[in-house]
Formats: sequence, structure tokens, C-alpha cells
Amino acid sequence: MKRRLTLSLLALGAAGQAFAGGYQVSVQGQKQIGMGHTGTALAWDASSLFFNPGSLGFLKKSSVVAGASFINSTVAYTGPNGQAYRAETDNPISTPFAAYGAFFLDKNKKLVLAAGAYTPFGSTVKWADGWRGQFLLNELSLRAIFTNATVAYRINDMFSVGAGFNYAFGSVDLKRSVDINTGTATAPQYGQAQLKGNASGIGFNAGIHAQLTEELSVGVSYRSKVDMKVSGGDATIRTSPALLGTTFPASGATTFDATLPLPANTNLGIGYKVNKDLTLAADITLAHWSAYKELRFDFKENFGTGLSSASPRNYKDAFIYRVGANYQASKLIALRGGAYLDQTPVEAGYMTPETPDANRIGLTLGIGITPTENLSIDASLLFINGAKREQTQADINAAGTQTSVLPGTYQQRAFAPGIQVSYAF
Amino acid sequence: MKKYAINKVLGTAAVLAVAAYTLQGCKPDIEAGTPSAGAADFSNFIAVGNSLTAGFADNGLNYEGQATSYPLILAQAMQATGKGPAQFLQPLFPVGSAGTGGLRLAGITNGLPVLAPVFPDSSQIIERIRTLFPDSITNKYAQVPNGMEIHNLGVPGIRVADIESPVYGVSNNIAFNPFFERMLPDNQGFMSYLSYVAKRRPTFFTNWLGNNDVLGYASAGGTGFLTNMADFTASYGKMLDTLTRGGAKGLIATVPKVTSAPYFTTVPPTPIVLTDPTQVALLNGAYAARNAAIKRFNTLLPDAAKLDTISFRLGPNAPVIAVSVTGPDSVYRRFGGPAGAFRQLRADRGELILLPAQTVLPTGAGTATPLGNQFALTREELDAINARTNEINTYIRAQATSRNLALFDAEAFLDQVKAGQVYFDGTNITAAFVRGGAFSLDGIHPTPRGYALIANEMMKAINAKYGSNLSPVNAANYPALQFPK
Repeated sequence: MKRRLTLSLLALGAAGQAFAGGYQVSVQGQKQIGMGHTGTALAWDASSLFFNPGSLGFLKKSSVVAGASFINSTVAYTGPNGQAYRAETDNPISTPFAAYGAFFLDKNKKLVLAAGAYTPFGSTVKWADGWRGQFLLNELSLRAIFTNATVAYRINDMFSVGAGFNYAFGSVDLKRSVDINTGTATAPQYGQAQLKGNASGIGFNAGIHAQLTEELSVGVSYRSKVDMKVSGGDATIRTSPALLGTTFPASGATTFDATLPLPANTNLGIGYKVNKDLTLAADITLAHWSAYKELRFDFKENFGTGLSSASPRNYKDAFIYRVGANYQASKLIALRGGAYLDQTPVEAGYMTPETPDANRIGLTLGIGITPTENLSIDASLLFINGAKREQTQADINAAGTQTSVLPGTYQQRAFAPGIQVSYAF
Repeated sequence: MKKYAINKVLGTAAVLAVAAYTLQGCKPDIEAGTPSAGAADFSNFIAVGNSLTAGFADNGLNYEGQATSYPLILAQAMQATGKGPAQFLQPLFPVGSAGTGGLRLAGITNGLPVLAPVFPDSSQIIERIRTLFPDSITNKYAQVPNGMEIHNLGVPGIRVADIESPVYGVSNNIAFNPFFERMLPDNQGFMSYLSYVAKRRPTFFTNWLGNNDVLGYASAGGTGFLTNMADFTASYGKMLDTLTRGGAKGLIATVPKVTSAPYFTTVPPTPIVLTDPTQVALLNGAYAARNAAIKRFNTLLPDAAKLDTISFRLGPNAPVIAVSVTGPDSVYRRFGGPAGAFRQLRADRGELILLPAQTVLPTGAGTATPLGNQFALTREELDAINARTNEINTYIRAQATSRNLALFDAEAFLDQVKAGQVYFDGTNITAAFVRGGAFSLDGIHPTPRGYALIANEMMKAINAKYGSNLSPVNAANYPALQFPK
């Protein structure tokens, strides 16, 4: 009976059209990464703050956790119709991190106060110099750090609930070439526009964890959308002086406002202890990407396209399906494996050079070492294989995105090793 | 036992999956396409044509324009197949030379482009050319080294009507084409362009002739002649016979509508903006007697033939233009006075003012004195131009079909450019003067960006016809205008 429930949940996952992509980053806890980034129904440690604040009430001890991943991602582009053109990103390694602490406030271990800082969104894309899409994008760095304070309460042996408040802060830095030549016909020189600013926003999270039997647990959690607002960011331009004072600000610099939505996530998870050593988990996440309608910048002075520039994104909501297993091989060592299908929120014709997104498969491995009862060192390895995705001129014409995307094929692959230390007390 | 089995199966599956996954690598494995020649033989490629083929831009021909010519772009794409021409030589001006001069973008004032001649003093043009190329009687340009077989045979200014003229490249004191003259060896004697081309044995060619057979007339405001169709088809047919003689494959191209170029569309038909009532009254007063005479005359005419009077008002006005004394407007000679036949331009009939009028309109031309005939196209002139363009293009399209050649439909393509429907690597290319990116400062010839786009379109046509894979160039390698640093 219990097994049938697990299997039907997996079947449900497979039936849905695969996966959340965009600029969401699934590396928020090393134990969970090792298990395909599942964890909505498992109470491992303080990292449940991210996965399901409701699970915190089922922790056995107070704990602190700190870790980071090192994402090495490459995107390649090839021209449409068999063109002999290929370009690749030269992204720096990005290092999303996560740190959590969860502390029981009462001796019955029912009430938990937790705090954390983590990086569920982010993107770093740096295309090769002089690449074909340079008038759209040379380089983008998007960072968001979420800080969170959560309270959880275990109502009884079956239910625990939790809720928290998010304050997110971060930065955006975007560079693109400006299509104004100040060189010659044979040795063109193009200037560059840069938009750089700090952003912040607020949100909340909440969750319920149900321990239905000793073996079976179910969790539901929700993290709200956070609108990251940039106010008074720096817009600077390097171009022909002939255009300063008209098309661009006389001083070459002005300020801009923008809002980037970091979408809400709804998670449903199930955990099942097959035997003393083997735990299985499966999660479904709905990423509410439809909040991302357009990327719009409002400028204080004319900046190329007048006082604003907007390009449509029209993301759609997307699912992520995850499965994972944890096998306690010995008292010292736990081995983990998992996989996820990450559905792209980006529709045909909207694949931009900053997020040339496609459905992705993530495959994970993990190892946990517990040298003492309270100390755990966990490491994971995540492989991401983005599908080859072609965008035709017909897709672009249908979407009306001719000045924000290129026709052609993109493919992304990444691997991310990660490590964390956690301590329970 | 059961526990052991489950754990073992799961563990093995995970290890196998990860092994398979990592084997395919952590880097994207999509590959670029491979250029290929298909059924075409690109080993000996020549380009026949006019200024567009030569790389003319900004009202001049210089090294930079030649180095970004569409035939060179095509040749390089052919070479990338590994079966292209061993070399593709052009009649280059010296590196860094301003060649025949032309226009440059000096700056932007109040949002409007300020153009300046490359050689500010017109007498200096001749002097500079003599100094740069000191080999000639008059207006002769540096000779292509004797015996050098060039492959870009574009001759600025050449019409199909000129290609059989044996004196076209012979320097004399009346009329010859110095761009053709410089291609010919010393002491060549009489040789037509057709005979010159006939000396080649190409395996592949492009032929984009025909523009000047309408453009020469159109850009001169309807003065001079349109090539008549019988002459056009006879000479054009001979050129294709010559080019395909050895079984060569190739591409031919149609002629864009004149109205797709900003030279014909930048100046609005009502450019004279009057703000002073006194001036309006003065102008209307000056034409009052003539208007009265026309009105009297009109009483004798049927409605369809009635003549226009001239009137000015506050706000934008159409200019008074000189009109041809031979066409249907010749009736205005009766009311001409010393300036000959003139009337007010009819914006409602789509009549056009040409780009060079920008320099004379601010001096008052078109108000008390008419704007010269060469600065405007009347409805009758436009109808004649459009009809001839249609005839030429119908003929060229039919030739492409009957001779089984690739066709670059320049007319259709530049219509799209004008409609703002053409995009190049994320940038929008339009026909707007200076801002649009497609056309250079003379308003007729493309920018390097425009030429690159044309080359890419030609590659599409060649690939479709011959199953080749010529790979297009990137927009950023071919800039539009050159802005001041």
C-alpha cells in the first residue's frame, strides 16, 4: 500500500511535461542536492528552513548548517539552418551558498526558531567577446541573497507547521554593446551600455510537515514571490559624443529603475523510509514563473531607446519533478543519488541570450560523513544537462521578439560540486 | 535479504545513470554547421554589376567600401567551403585612401545628421585624385596594374544600356567612365564592358546590372532617359549568354523600387514651413497675377485637365517646382516667365522631393523661385520609373527561371527593409536616412551593414538553388555608419 502511493506519485511526475529553469538555482542544501534536491517531506537539519519550514518541528536537535556549491556552467549557441557559427559563454564559476540555524526554544522540542541566508536565484552569463548577439547581451550578473527568520511549531506527533519572513537583497549588472560604430568600416568599434544597481525585496514562506506513519511523511511548502526592485541604479554609456545629449545623456550617465520578479514556489513532497538504511523522497515544485512578464528599465534621461526599454518575457508557470534516495551504508557514511526534471518557463521565441532556457535534467550524487554523532560533512555533485533547443525565425516573428533574441540553437550544461558542514546540539 | 536486494538495485542504477551522464561531458556538444559548395562550382567567381557591386557608399568609392563589398563577402563564404576561388581580386584603391571622396558624418545637431564632404573644396577633389593617382589627363583614377585579372567587375554608374559601347572605357574629353577605364590595360583601345567580361571564364557569377537604367533618370529628378526595354533585354540577354557560355552557374538580381531608398523619401513633400503671415501674403501676392491667368485659362478646360494655381499658407507647404517642358506639364510654359514651366508640387499625388534638395531648400528655393527640376519627381515621372522598374524586374525574374539561375529579389527584399521587417542579429535595419542603418549617407547606396545583409540574402538564394551551405556573416563585423569619435 505504502509503496503504491510512492509509485503513483512518481508516475504523476513523469506524466507531467517535465520541469523550473529560468534563473532559479537548485543548490540550497548539500544533503538534499545529493538526493535530487528533494526535501519537502524530510527533516534533515536546519536546511528545512528552505525546503519546508514545517519540517523544522520534526528535527531531533538544534542545528547549524553552512555550505556552498561551485557552479561551472557553459552555454553554447549555434546559428540557424546549419550555419557555420558557434559561440560559447565563458562564465566565471558562481558560488551560491546556504547557511541555516534552527534552535529549539522549549525543552519539549516543539517550538523552533530558525534563521538562514541562501541564494535560490542567480545567474551569471558572459558571452565571448564580439559574439553575434553582442548588441543584445555581453554579460549579465544577477545575484540575490535571501535572509529569513522562521518560527516552527510541532503541534503533535503527526503535524508540524512553520512560517517565516524573507528579506532579499542583491544586485544586477548587465552589459551590452551599442550598435554605433566609431571605428572604420573594416575595423568597427562599438561602445557599451552598462546597467548596474542594487536590488531588494520582501516575501514570506510557510509549510506543513505531516509524519503520517513512522515510515511515511508528506510535506507542503510555499515561498512567495519577491519583487526585486532596483531604484536609482547606474546606467552608463560609452559611445560617440555626437549622440550624447540627445539619444543618450549628455554626461554619459543617468539612473534607472527596474523590477525583477523572483517567482513563488509551491512544493509538495513525500518521504518514505523503505528500511532502516534506505530513505526515498519525491518532490514536485510548481514555480510560478508567469509573474515574469517583461524586463523593463525606466531611465531618468534618454538612454538609447528613449526613457524606457522593455522587452517581453512572458514566462509561463513550470513544474520541477524530483526523486532521490539516501542509503546509510555504514554508521559513518551515507550515499545519496537523485535526479530531477526541470521544466523551462521560457516559451518559443523568448529564448534570450541572458536566459537561453530549455528543459533540463539534473542528476545528483552525494555523500555524507558523520565522524561524530553531532557533526556531519556532506558533499554533492550535480550535473545539469539542458536540452538542445532551437528557436526559429518563425518562432521569433510569432512572439514579436526580433530585437531581443537571436534565431539559432542553444544548449546548456553545468556541473556543480558542493560541500557543507552541519552540527547538531 | 530483501533489504539488500532493493539497496543493491537502486545503488547500481544510480551509478550507471551517473556514469552514462558524465561520459557525455560537462560542456555543450552542439556543433556549428559545415560550409559546403553543393552542386555549385565556386572555383572561379566573378561579380558583374555597377556601383553596388563595386562597394560604393557615402557617394564615393574607397578602400573601406571595397573591403566590405558584397562580392568579397560572398567570395569569402565560398572560400570557407574549401572549394572557393583561390583568390578574389578587386580593383582596390590604396589602403587608407579616401578614393573618390564622398560624404562623411560630421556630427548630429538637434538630432539631425550633419554631412560634410570628404574633400571640402570641390576643386580639391580633382587635385586630390591627381595627387593620389598622378597618371592622367582628367578625372582618371589609379589604374589597376596591367594584366591583373580582377574578379569584382563592378563599375559605378554603368547601365545595361552602356555595356555594348566600345568607347565606354576610353578616356576622352567628353564622356567616359573612369571606373571602367582604370580596369582596362594601357593602350587597350576600344573595348566594351561586355567584351571585357567575355574574356573571363567563370564557373560562378553574380550579375546585378540594371539599377542605373532607371536610377540615373530617377535620381536626376526625371531628367535624362530611362533605358528603353528593347535595348535593355537585348544587352542583358547578351550578358547572360556570355556569362553562362561555359556552363557557369550564378545569381542574378532584380532592381529595387526607387522609393525604397531614402534619397527619394527623406525630404517630406511639404518641407517649406511658413510661420510669418506677412511672408505668406507676400508669396501669394507674387503669384496672384499668374493664378488669375490660370483660373481664366481653366474655364476653357475640362475638369480633368485644369491646371493648378500656387498658394502658400501658414504651416508646411509644398514647394514650387520647375517641371519638364516636354512632358504633360509643358502646358505650364504658357505661364512660365523666365524660369520656364513651373507649378506647385502635388503631395496628394505622391510626388517626391529628392535628398539633394535639402541643401537648396533652406536658401528659399521653392518659394519665390522654383526648386530645380532635378530636385523633384512628378507623378508622371514616377509612373514612368515604376513601369520601367516593373518591366525590368519581370524580365530578370523570367531570365532566372528560364536559365535556371539563382535569383536575389532585391525589389522584394528592399520593400521589406523599408517596411521595417528586416532584422540582423537582433538589430532592426530600416530604410530611414542615417538612423536606419541600411543606407549610407548618399541615401542610395547601402552601408557595409546593408551590403552584408544583401550578401547574406544572396547566400540564401544560392544555397536554395544549388544545395550549397554558404554561411552568413555577422552584423557586428559590418558596421552601419561611422560616427565621430
